[in-house]
Amino acid sequence: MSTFSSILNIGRSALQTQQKAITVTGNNIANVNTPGYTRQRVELANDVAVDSTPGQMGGGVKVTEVRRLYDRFITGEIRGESQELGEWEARKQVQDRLEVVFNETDDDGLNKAMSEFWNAWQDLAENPGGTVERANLVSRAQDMTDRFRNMADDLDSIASEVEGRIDQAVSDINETALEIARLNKDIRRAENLGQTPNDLKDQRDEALKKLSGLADVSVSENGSVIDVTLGGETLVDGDTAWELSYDGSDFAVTDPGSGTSTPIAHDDIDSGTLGGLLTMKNDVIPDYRNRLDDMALTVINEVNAQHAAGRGLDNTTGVAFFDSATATPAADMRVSQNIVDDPRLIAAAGAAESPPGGSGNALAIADLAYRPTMSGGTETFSDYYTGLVADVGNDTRGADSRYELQQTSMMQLEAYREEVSGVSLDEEMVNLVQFQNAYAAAAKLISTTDEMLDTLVNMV
Amino acid sequence: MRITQNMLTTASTNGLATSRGRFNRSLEVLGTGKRVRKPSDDPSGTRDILRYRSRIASLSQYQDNTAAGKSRLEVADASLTMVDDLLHQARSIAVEYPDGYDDATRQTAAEAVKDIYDQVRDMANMRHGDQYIFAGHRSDQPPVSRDDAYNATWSGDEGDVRTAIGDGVQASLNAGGENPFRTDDGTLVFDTLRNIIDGLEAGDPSAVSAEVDALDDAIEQVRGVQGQYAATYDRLQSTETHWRKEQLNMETLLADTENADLNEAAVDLQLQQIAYESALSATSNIISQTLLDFLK
Repeated sequence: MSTFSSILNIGRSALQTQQKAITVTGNNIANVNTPGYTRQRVELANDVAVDSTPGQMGGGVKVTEVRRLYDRFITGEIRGESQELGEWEARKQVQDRLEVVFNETDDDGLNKAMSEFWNAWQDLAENPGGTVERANLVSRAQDMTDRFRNMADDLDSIASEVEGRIDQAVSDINETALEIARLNKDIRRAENLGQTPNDLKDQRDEALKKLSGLADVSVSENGSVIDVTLGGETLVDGDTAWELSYDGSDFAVTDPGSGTSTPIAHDDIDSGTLGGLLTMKNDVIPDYRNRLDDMALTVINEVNAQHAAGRGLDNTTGVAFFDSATATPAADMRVSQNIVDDPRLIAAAGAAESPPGGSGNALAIADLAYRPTMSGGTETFSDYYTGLVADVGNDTRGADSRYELQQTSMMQLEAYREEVSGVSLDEEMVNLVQFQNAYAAAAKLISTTDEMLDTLVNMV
Repeated sequence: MRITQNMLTTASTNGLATSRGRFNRSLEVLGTGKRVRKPSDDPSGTRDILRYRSRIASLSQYQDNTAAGKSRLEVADASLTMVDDLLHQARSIAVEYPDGYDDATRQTAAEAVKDIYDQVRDMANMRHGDQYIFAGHRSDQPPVSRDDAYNATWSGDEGDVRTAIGDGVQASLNAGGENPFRTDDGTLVFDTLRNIIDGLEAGDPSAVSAEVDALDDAIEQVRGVQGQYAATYDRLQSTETHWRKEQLNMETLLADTENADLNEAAVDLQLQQIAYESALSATSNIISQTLLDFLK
């Protein structure tokens, strides 16, 4: 049998519930622009019914759950995509820098310096005894060696910048891993208390997404916590974060409890910012650098060999034009100091010719310009170098378009995620009006009951 | 499908950024006039551009070489024409003398041949720039000098002076080092002239007549070498013309690869501008509307 108190109880539960619903709606509205926020919805159910005659009467309404509207599949996809995006973003950034080193389109680069160097030998052949021609050759040669050295230096400084970024990525990874471990701990505690820590889960998803962008981590759910591995090794284990370390060449993760560390091979880190940076550090930059060195080495050796065969103005032979090649020929390429100090030593005359009129050796050196000396005797210096520049262009273009592609995929996934989890202000406004009306109606129920009670009391 | 505010703003922002980016790129192309501004704009085009540039640099060097070679040959040719003329004068004197000069005429004739001797010597010591052109590889010294008795010393050698006129192609600028002043039997024209001077001064007609054949040989030698110079000159001339044409071709190719088609770029800029403006106006319409405008 119904009583006034049961009516009042129904009214009270209705007021409280609609108020909660309005709170959740308000929270959704407040977080409309929060990155990674997942919209929440109150799940309503009618409360325990009361037995009565002729049948059960409803006991009001209750909130069973404040639910995150969330698609686990898309969240996983986004993490995977973040790894690719992070990798290509890093590669694109470094590649753009590298392209500047090889930007020959303004016609003031190594290509031009080399052309001028070979042409200076032809000028010398025209007037082999000429002081002006000799001085000009020395300065053209110095221009060329300067270009080689500058390019080698630029590549080195980009390489050390990449090294710095790797350090930064490692410290970001550690920071994010600590955050995930802390959130794991908080979420577990909240769930043990029977709470639904929706906001903490949003934060953890966001942190996992960030971590995925940094390196190719694998994620596994383990009850209320999420464990993370990097390159197959533990990074987050429940509420403990292992520390990733990098000593300039090798990676390792260290268990903060036992202090044992496990190495991670470079090959096991192949995506995310860290993976992208490692590809640049280990493959791309050394490749460009080796090809530049290769070219410098061949120029030095070919010119020196031919030069030593000729005669200088004072009949000396066997003089080197460039300093002998070191282990890093491009970075150390220099015109021999003897030649700079005394350009008369430049051997323009051939072995069988008399200085100062003999020009056979100068012509032979000028001939090196179009002789196939590179790539096992198949390419000229110019072919080889233009090939290198074109490859840099291709790599840069490739990285740019991969990055754009990843951005597009990421945007599509984010749009899917938004579709499920994003806050729509229109929807929230409708909900707000709906809950507000219900609240007003529940209040009316209570005042009506109050009037009924009044009527009853006055009747007595 | 649920559409949220974020989706709208993200889509609008991306749309705007894309249109703005394309607009900027069109503007840059039009502003610089260049289609390829960095290797990644067109990697294979960049390769072509660098090749054309290297080629143009060597072609222009070859043209410099041929021009310098031609100028040297012109100087050499003018000198030898002068020598030819002088030797003919000497020959007339040598042929006329036996017909009976008196002593005074004989002395005058001897003086005239001495002048000829010195003028031929000056021609042989002709320079182009700072090089003695008939000295072979000993180009820093005058190749011929004489003592008071008109005994000549030839200090030049027969070094071949070459210049590059193409990839691996060289031309000799001094007929392969052949000395125009020395005949095939090794007689130096200056020795012949000295014998004539001596004959004239000594009043020995037979000694003078004996040198006429040698003078003819010397003239023959000068003309032979001159002929070779002329052939080289023609070769340099046609090579230079050829390279000039090829350089023009290369420059056209370079411009086609490197430069933007300005008409196309201008039309493109217009299109991109329209696209960008449309994106702006669409965005302003979409993002400003919410249900709030209609709830009272």
